Amino acid sequence: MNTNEYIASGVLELYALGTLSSEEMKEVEANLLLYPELQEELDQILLGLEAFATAHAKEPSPALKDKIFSKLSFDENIQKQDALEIEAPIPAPEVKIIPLQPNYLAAVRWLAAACIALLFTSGFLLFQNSNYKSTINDLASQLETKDKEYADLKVKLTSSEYLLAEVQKPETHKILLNSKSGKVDELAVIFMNVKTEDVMVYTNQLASLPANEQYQLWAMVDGKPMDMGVFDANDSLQSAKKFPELMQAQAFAITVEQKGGSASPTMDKMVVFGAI
Amino acid sequence: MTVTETYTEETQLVASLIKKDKAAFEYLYDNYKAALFGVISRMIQPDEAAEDVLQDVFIKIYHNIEKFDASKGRLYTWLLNVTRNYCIDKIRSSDQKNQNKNRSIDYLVPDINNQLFTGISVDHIGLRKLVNSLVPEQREIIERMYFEGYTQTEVAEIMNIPLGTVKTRARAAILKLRTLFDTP
Repeated sequence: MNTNEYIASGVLELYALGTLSSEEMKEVEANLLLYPELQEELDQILLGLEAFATAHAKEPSPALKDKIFSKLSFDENIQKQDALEIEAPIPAPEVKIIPLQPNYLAAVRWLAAACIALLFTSGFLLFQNSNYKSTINDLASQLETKDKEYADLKVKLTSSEYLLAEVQKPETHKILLNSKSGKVDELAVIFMNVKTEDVMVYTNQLASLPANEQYQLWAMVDGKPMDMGVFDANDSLQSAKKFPELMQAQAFAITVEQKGGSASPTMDKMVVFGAI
Repeated sequence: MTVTETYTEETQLVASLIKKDKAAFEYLYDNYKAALFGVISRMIQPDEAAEDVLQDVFIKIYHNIEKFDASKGRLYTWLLNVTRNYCIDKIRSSDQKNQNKNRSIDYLVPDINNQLFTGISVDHIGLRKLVNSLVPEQREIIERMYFEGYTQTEVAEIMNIPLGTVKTRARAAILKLRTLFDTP
């Protein structure tokens, strides 16, 4: 797909304005997942629309706030909980009251024992409270990590679902690119839709590269290597560049090149290769 | 203003909103009321009716904040879309739409002197000038779609222009709105 033409058509603007049919919206959403440059463009469009809304800002009457807030209920415990965390709740231990007797010594002993008991109990409760506090902090940070993991998984799932739908089409051909050095787990997969002539490459089984290097995909057309774009190792699914002779390609190869790619492939740095 | 800062602040705010923290909702109201009310009062009149709608919208936000998905966009965009969708539904379910259809476009131009905005920290006077500097045909398209919820086909019919022109004019208008964000 030519993303520049797609952007210029104005369809992303209509998507942002919410004026597309649900069918058209799904199409745009699938394209947004496939082409990051479309998502970047959409983000800018949304900022533009936010500016448009801000330009029309107008204050409602001051009395409205109280009216609205009187209709909402809030978690009043949030502030109390904070207070509890700061001041340890120390219940007073039971102290036995001894009536004052001629035997003062016995009374003093009892008092001393009670004081020591009180001291230990307070110390223990303080210690326990700080344990609880750190447990709460741990749980909160765990929850945050899980939230992030969940969001990442959601994105991955959507892209996997799209991939699954794509590869099930009879017009999508699958080409395996195998390791040149014979490593079993080093491989890349190409999905070529012969109808739309879109090519997607799946590179997440390739080893990570230093920051100054990238993988570059090449199509071999009549023995001539044609550039199909650069990829990073951890990208799950990427769209490759298109050109008219692409459907005549006899083979595909991936080489390691300087970041941004080279004009022609460095043949001794070829990692995977696959013929059609 | 860096992107990371905004992001952290927004996630913290959203987390507190989900917990139904009163201070967070007060912050949300104080910062976004003017923006949301501005949109509503362009869609629903008179102002008393618009304030009722702001109340309904804010209660809706209170109940639905869990549905906000930060991976899909910023909180501000989400708030605006909740607001617009609520208003569009309301307009469609009443005869408001017919009245709006007959309003002249001049009536839709904001009154610069009459409105004060202190909520969102961008230069809204500059923004207003920017919106007013749009070519009238471009502005009409954005206003028809944004404030009245018309589809591209409806706009094409009302303005008597081809569908493709609707798209390209919408794009040209929003490109102009974006220029403000291109300068640091």
